[in-house]
Parts: sequence; structure tokens; C-alpha cells
Amino acid sequence: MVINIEGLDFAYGAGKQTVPVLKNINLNFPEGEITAIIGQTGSGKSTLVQQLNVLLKPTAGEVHIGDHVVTSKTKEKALTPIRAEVGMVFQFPESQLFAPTVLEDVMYGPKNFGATEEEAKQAAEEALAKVGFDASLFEQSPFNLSGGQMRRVALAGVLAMNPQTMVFDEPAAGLDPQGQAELLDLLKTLRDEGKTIVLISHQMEQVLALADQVVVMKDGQVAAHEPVEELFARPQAWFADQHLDLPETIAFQKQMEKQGFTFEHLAKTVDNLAEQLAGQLDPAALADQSTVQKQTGGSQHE
Amino acid sequence: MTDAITIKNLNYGYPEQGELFKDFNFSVQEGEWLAIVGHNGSGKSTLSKLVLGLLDFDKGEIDVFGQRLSEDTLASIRAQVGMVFQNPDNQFVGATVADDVAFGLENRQVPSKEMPAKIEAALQQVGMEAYAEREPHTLSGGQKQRVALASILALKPRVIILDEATAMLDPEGKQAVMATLKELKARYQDQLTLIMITHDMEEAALADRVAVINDGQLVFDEQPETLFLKGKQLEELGLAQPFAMALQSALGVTPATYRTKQELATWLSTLKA
Repeated sequence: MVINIEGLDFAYGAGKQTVPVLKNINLNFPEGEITAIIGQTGSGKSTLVQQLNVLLKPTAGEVHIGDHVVTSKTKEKALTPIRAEVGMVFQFPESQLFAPTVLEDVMYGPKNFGATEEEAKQAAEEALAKVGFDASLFEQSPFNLSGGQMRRVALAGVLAMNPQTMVFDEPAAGLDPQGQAELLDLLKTLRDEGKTIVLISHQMEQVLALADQVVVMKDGQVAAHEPVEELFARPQAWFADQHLDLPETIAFQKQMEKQGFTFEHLAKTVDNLAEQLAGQLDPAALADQSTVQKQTGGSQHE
Repeated sequence: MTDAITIKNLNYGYPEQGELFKDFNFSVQEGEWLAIVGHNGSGKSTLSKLVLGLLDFDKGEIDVFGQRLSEDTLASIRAQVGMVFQNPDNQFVGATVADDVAFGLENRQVPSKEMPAKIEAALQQVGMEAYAEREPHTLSGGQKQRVALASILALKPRVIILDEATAMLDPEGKQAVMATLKELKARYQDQLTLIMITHDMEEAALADRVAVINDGQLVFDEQPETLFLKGKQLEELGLAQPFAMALQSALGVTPATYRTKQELATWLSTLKA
């Protein structure tokens, strides 16, 4: 399901009291791709994604969600079927768990949209399997689980409705590295199934590893919209202007460039960075490690 | 140095999930800055809840500044140990920032004429004095966590436990909270014991000591500089290695001492062919 935003303005309030939040947004979210939305807190990211699952309607312009068109005039009733097609995974979704057992919690969504008990159970079991949730814990209370397990249950709750588009707001925040890696794999799987994936993230490592294209928001406007490789090839000063960090590999790469190293490719991984660096280092000096001491001072507690 | 917290032969398990801590021993010295790291479900947050008496344990002893944790000492121990939680939105009770800091003081029956000065001082220490009359919901995540810290500081705690207090913050919020912690530590030195539960290795690097917990067991307990040299072992425990270690390992380098990113960049420049 493709999403197109055309000439969108959005303001909170009405009459003279309006507060403009989004200005002249034109964006395209293709199927089978992950589009990351990044930007400083308050740049309009969250308001933008609320247009995607029509929690908010545009003040001007149009949002095309598959065959649906949403404008300021769209009736509330027409929005309900759209919401079923766009799944939202909010920040810390585990705070919205409520049912007495894991399975019931995940079944709630499908049942709410008209599935029978049997259908909902099947959808829930499939969704829980997809997020790697241990079947022996299906009858547990979700509140007895660890943070990482709760996050999976909450994710399964959205997956069980099988939405064609999924919006993830900081899905990996608070997870440990293993939990983060598993979650990133899940997003890739969903993308490869042809879903339209939208990812809001402050973690540039995630954006670099996952995104096909990136939207940078600043002051309610689109400051950049381009493939991930093009974005991170921009100069460091541009990122500082947007109050954005660079992924560690790329920040390091840019730092080494200043010291005379040259790179053919943008270093997407640590291994790739090491490979490109190694060719420019004196192999004998690199091999002789045991005698090399720390170059500069630093706090050493002895 | 005296022990701020001593844990002896602690046994604890969650209902239906079996034993988590078994004969667990650990201590934190007064004035230390300690980081406790471990993957989700490793028991690191449970430990802090046990120390605060928020969970009952099956067997063992916990002493806080020499006081044995029990029903009788609970109030006195909680008065000395403040805690900042992960979610900045779940810790506000007051209508304004100042009210929120006042709430804890009221609970301690601080006379109302002494309050404004105490509130002002606490907010100053976290750089939030300009926001005293703001409603908490208008603050950013990082500002909220700093106010949560101020509310605790107003009560003059001897220990502050931060339970993944920066996990929900954006990079700017994280930096602001970490900068505030550094200032507090510099100001109070040995008068303040900081315990930071985290899985962010860049944060753990600021501590004097890092305890790595895995499935209720203490696996490593040492200074960050030596811990980080165990790069691969950290990954096996479900933790990230600091970037500089990961890059050196990818280059086939096993450093004898820990290098920061900056140090690594400088060193690599000297090896340029």
C-alpha cells in the first residue's frame, strides 16, 4: 500500500488561535521499503505520522493511503477502515498492555475488528510466533514479563491485525542489544513481505542499518528526503545544523577523512569501515600490537 | 570507606519464573559512581527494587549504611536512597515543577517557610530553576528527568539510583542528564553515591566501576577501562561493545589498554602507510 502526501499543511486549533505545525509537506512512502523519519524533538515527526494513520486530518492538502484520500473535509466515519490498514506501534507500547493473559491481549485487536474467537486466536498465535515469543508463556499475565518480552507482546498485538502499513515510533528504545537486533530483523522481514514501513528513530545506527530512504524534519518542514546513502554523505556541519547525530561508523569515517584517509564507500558497518581503513595502514605497525601504548592521556584508575 | 549498600546471600525469584538471585553478594561503597549493566531480564532492575524494599526477598540480608533492611527500617532507608525511573511521564504529581519538588518535602514535613529556598536550590543543581512555574507536561523528556532528580536532591539523599533513566530520551536529553550527573558528582563527591542501571556502554564509561549482571549472577565487576577490553565477552552476554573496541577488533587489534574513539583516531593516524 503506497502512501502519498501532497501539499499538506497542518495546524492545531481553529480560527485565529491556530498553531502551524506542518508546512507544505510532499512525501511518498513506497511499498516494500523502510522510510525513516528523523529530526530533533519538536520538529514535527510525531504530528506527521499521525497523518498516516489519520489520528489527525490535514488542515490543507491531501493524504493518499492506498485507495483512500484524506482531506480536511473527510468524515470521521470514513477514517475507521483506514486505521485498520495502518498499524501504529507507539513508543513504549508495553504501557498499553491490559489483558489478563498474553494471548488475550494479542487477540483483542483482531476481535475488535470483527474476527471470530478462532480467527483471532490463530492470528494472535502467528503474530506471537513472528516476534519470537515463547509459546509456553501464552497464558502468563503480560505484567509478569520482562521489559523485552512485554515489548514483543505489544508488537504482536499490532501484527495480529495484519496491517499493510506499519509505523514504528522508537521501537527499540530501552531494549538491550540482542532485543534491538531481533527487532530490526523483524522490521526487515516485514519490509520484505512488501509492507510499507515507517520508522521514527533517534538512533542513527538503526536508520543507517534499516532505512531505504530518510525524511529529515526541521521546524515542521521537510529538510531532506533522499536515499540513506545520500543523506549520510552530507557534511558533518549539516547534521549539526539539524541537531542530529551521525552514526558512529560514519562520524569516525568523516573524522579520519580530515586526517588524510580516503574512502570509496560510505561505511555502513564497523567491518566495512575496518576493511577500508586497513588498506591504508602500515601492516607491520598494525601487526605489532603488544608493545603499542595508549597515545594520549585519559583517566586511569589504578 | 564505609559501605553504602551491602547485600549478603540474597535469594530471590519472581513468582512462576524460578530463582533469579541465588546466594548473591555485592556491595557499593559510599561515594562511588557505579554502573550496573546487563541485558533485559538479567535482574539489574530487580536488584534496585529489592534494595528499596519494593520487592520482598526469600532469604539473605541487605544493609544500607549499616541499617538492616526490614519493615522497621524501611522508611529510614528510603529516606536515604532516591530513585529515578525510566519513564519521565510516570513520576510527576505536582501541577508545576516547583510543586512537584515540594511534594517530597511536604512528605518529610519540612516547614513551609523553608520550602521555597530548598526548591530553588534543588532546581538550580539540575539547571531547571527557570522552569519552576512551568507545568511538567510542557517539558521535554530530558528536562522531566532533571526535575525528577531535583525532587530527589531536595530530600538530601545519600544514594541516588537511576534505573535506565535516559532510555526514553533523545540524544540531547541524554547528554543533558549525563552532564547534570557529572556536575552533581563533582559537587558532592563522597557525600553522594550514584548507581546507574543502564545498557548504554557510553554511559557506563563515566562510572568508577561497572558491575555486569547476567541471569542474577555477577559476571564482571571492575573499572570501565578494563571491562571494555573484554569486547567479545560483553557481546556474548548480550551487551554492546563500545565502538572503539568493535573497530579495533575488526582491524584484528587487541589493545593492551582501552582507547576512546578520539584516542583510536589519533593512534590510527600514526599508522598511516
